[in-house]
Amino acid sequence: MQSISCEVLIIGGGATGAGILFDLSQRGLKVVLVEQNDLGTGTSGRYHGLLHSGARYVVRDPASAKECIDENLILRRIAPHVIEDTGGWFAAFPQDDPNYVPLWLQGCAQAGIKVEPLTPTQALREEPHLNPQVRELYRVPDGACDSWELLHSLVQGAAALGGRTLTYHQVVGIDVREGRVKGAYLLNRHTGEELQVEAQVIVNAAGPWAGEVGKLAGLKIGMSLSKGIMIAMNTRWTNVIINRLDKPGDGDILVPVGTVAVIGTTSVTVDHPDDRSITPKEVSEMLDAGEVMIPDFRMGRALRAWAGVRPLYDPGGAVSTQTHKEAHDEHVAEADDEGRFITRTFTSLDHADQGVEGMLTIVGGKLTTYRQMAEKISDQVCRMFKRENPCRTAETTLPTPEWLHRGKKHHTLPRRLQALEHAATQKPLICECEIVTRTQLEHAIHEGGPGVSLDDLRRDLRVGMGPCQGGFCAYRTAGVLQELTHLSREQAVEALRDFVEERFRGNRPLLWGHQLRQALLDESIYRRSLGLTPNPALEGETKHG
Amino acid sequence: MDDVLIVGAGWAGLTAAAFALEQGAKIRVIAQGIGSPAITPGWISVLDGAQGDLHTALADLVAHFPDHPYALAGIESVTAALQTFEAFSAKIGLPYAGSLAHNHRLISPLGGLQSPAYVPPGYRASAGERPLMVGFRGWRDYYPALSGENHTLIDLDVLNRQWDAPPTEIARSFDYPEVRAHAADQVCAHLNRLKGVSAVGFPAVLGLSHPSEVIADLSQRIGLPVFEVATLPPSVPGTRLFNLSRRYLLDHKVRLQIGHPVIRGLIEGDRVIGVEVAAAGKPERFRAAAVILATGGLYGGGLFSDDRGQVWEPIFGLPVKHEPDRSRWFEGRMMSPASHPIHQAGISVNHQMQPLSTQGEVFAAGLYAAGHVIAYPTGTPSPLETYEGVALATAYRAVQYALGKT
Ligand SMILES: Cc1cc2nc3c(=O)[nH]c(=O)nc-3n(C[C@H](O)[C@H](O)[C@H](O)COP(=O)(O)OP(=O)(O)OC[C@H]3O[C@@H](n4cnc5c(N)ncnc54)[C@H](O)[C@@H]3O)c2cc1C
Repeated sequence: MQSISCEVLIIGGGATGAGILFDLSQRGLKVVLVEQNDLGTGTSGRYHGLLHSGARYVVRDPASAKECIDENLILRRIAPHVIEDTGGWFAAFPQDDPNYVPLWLQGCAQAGIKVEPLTPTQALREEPHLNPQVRELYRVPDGACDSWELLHSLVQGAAALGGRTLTYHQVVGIDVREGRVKGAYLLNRHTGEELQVEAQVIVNAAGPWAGEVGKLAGLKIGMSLSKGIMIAMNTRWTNVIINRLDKPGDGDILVPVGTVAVIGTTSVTVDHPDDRSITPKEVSEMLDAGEVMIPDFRMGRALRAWAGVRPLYDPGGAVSTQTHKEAHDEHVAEADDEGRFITRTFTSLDHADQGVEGMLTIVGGKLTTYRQMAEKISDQVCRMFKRENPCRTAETTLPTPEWLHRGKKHHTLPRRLQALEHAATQKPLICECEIVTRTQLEHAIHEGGPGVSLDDLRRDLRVGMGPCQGGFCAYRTAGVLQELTHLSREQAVEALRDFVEERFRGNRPLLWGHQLRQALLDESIYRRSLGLTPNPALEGETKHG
Repeated sequence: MDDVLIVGAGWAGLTAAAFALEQGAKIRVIAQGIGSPAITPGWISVLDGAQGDLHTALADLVAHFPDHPYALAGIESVTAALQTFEAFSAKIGLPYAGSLAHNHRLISPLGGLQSPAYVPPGYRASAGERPLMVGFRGWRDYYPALSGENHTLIDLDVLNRQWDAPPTEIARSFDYPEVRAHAADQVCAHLNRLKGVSAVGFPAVLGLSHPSEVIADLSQRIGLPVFEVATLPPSVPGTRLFNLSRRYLLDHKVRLQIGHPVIRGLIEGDRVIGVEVAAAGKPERFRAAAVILATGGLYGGGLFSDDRGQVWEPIFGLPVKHEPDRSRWFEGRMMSPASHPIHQAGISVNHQMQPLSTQGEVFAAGLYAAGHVIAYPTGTPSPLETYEGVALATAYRAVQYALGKT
């Protein structure tokens, strides 16, 4: 078994882990981050996309609101390239409780969030799709934040300082001897090989999986997992983020992201971090909520639905005294079904208490506050190494990922359109919906290296993510992949089948109307035109269920 | 006033027109767009899964499922429809070949097998061959390496300009002898280096207007049988059928109005009297003694659905049978062995192809339905496996009753 060594091993390639990697690298520690999939495939890639102003929390969670606005202003300074300054509105509709408004205004004033009133007439001139029955509106400094770019900025910034990132490496074991952490065992998910990492300190930043990672070290970390769903509609209904000016509830925020608008979200307790199911009922409720803000909302085409799981800490009463604890999340603490008051917190734990020295865990929080979370836990790590290097992340501008400079940011539409229009020799468009050319595909296959999967290409290039749901481009992508990587025919067909199922899983909650028609066309293409058959290995399963 | 007005120009609508023409009727076809032939492979699936004799398999199917469209139309309609269609296809210069004795065994683009009952020129029995699969370098819609062990890419002159040419565009170029000669030369050069190849497979783009001659010419130049493999839509074989049928029907005075959305059915008392078509200004009305609704299912556009799980038929407002719980519309996987329950959605009809009301009574005299707007009972083979067979059989049956021939 190969082995590497470092001072600090970080588990989890979400915003929290990447933030810690950058912070500790800047403080001169030798750090390795491991992520079981690609970067940002956990909650950080399945979130609502909002750079919170904090205004959502001012009434029930003033401390958290303060944190958000502080970090909001810092992030605008250090990472302007990942933020689209859409601004946000809080808008009160006839359904909303008028008594909430004065409370909210007072909260904003206390938290130091700048709000500016605007009249419905003004608002409708700026955003003509908005429900004309809107009563009252205020501007707040919300923004849209691209977590994928943020993560890559952090990882690249860390790399320049010697911080290493291993993706597709899953921590499968943690080595604890005589009450001390010694290192961890990793499984390379592409090759199946094992790798040993020696480390003096391990930081568990595995988000909703923090409990599972804890188990590997024999620790019990009480987690409360809260699932939320979001739906992307193919119309960018507004250019500004719309929040309902009422108590936080389901589907009360609409975020414009690129060419789409994302409505969200919900809060349902789940047992497992991988439970990301979405029911038709939840979808219909989101659309109902969207119609409060945008009357024609339902007429748009729902492109994608996804769910993320909030990694909330639930100690069951026993919280250690040095725990940093604040109410958090885009849903303010709400009474649950049994009337129990659940607070959403970000918490750092030192497991020395439970007899495992050198192991820290950080859970909860928001993407907006990743930097502050990283600062807190990095301070703790530095104390363990008896180093006094102060945190400098609030003053350091993050690098723009190299691929953004080289125009190789495959996944934004304007860039791809530009590349397409300016290319000297054009190559076939593989995916018409997301405008991906064969050249880009070849590039991505090349850069993905051995073992690159159709699903990696989907995430990188967004192949198959448009309205056609991959009906055409799945086959084309499989064909090109086979040509370039010399997969066997069977492997290529298997990859195609996996891709089809992956897209189907993503689309299934949204199959009605046009999208249903498209799915039925795609099924006909796969089964009839291409002769794709069910996976023989799964054929034995029961037919109905 | 027309004898019969057919709404839809997919497999059911087009063949209904062809069948009605046999009877010498005055026919009008109104359709929103080119229908299913352009997106289906162009062959006729009667019962893809059947091993051996299809008569037996069909008899079995209708015995098990008395509400299956085949059972409602009757097996005699299946056989009569296929015979009549075979004759029609020969007349339009696109002779389909097949029988109910057994399904064909065609090589699929992914190297598997496809098993339709009747096939147009190009799709010829090819399993058991040792084929060389040929694709076009730089063309995005076909990858021969996925089809078979022996494969090669050749250059097509036209592709220098048209890297993303749709299949129909490539097909049009094969109508020219120069293009065929250039392709054949490259294939022959490759064949010289291979042993034991018994046939040459191309994506289904070998000519648009006269494919039989194009394919014969290519195999003569190459010196081996040449066959076609289905690929991504728009389907060339389906487009050939549509184009050639259209020309034939127009030549025989059928009024074909494509691009005209029917918005409403007209009913007077208990009879259908015609339909209303969207037009600039005010809607236009067309009267007919009988109307055949061949608008397709959810996939064809004859049925609509929404996020709450409702499914409706927009033209006549016919009651639709369907699973009301949207979370049950699909099985666990897209490629599940069992058919997805949503495929069953459709209207109920009687043995005369007359749509029924919720009470099970004839909805309106003179109104008939054909094709995939009709419901399937639970547990039947996927409608994708009986796709064209059902369209033809129900169209045939509907025409017989609409014209009072039985
Ligand atoms: C529905 C929803 C909407 C949200 N919207 C917003 C918003 O608009 N704005 C905002 O600021 N915040 C929002 N949040 C909160 C925010 O997304 C999360 O707080 C944040 O992304 C958490 O990041 P993380 O790095 O802690 O966890 P994650 O992003 O989940 O990262 C953990 C990573 O650890 C990896 N991992 C797990 N186990 C292992 C292992 N054994 N080995 C290796 N790797 C492992 C996982 O693959 C994962 O990538 C939202 C949250 C949800 C659920």
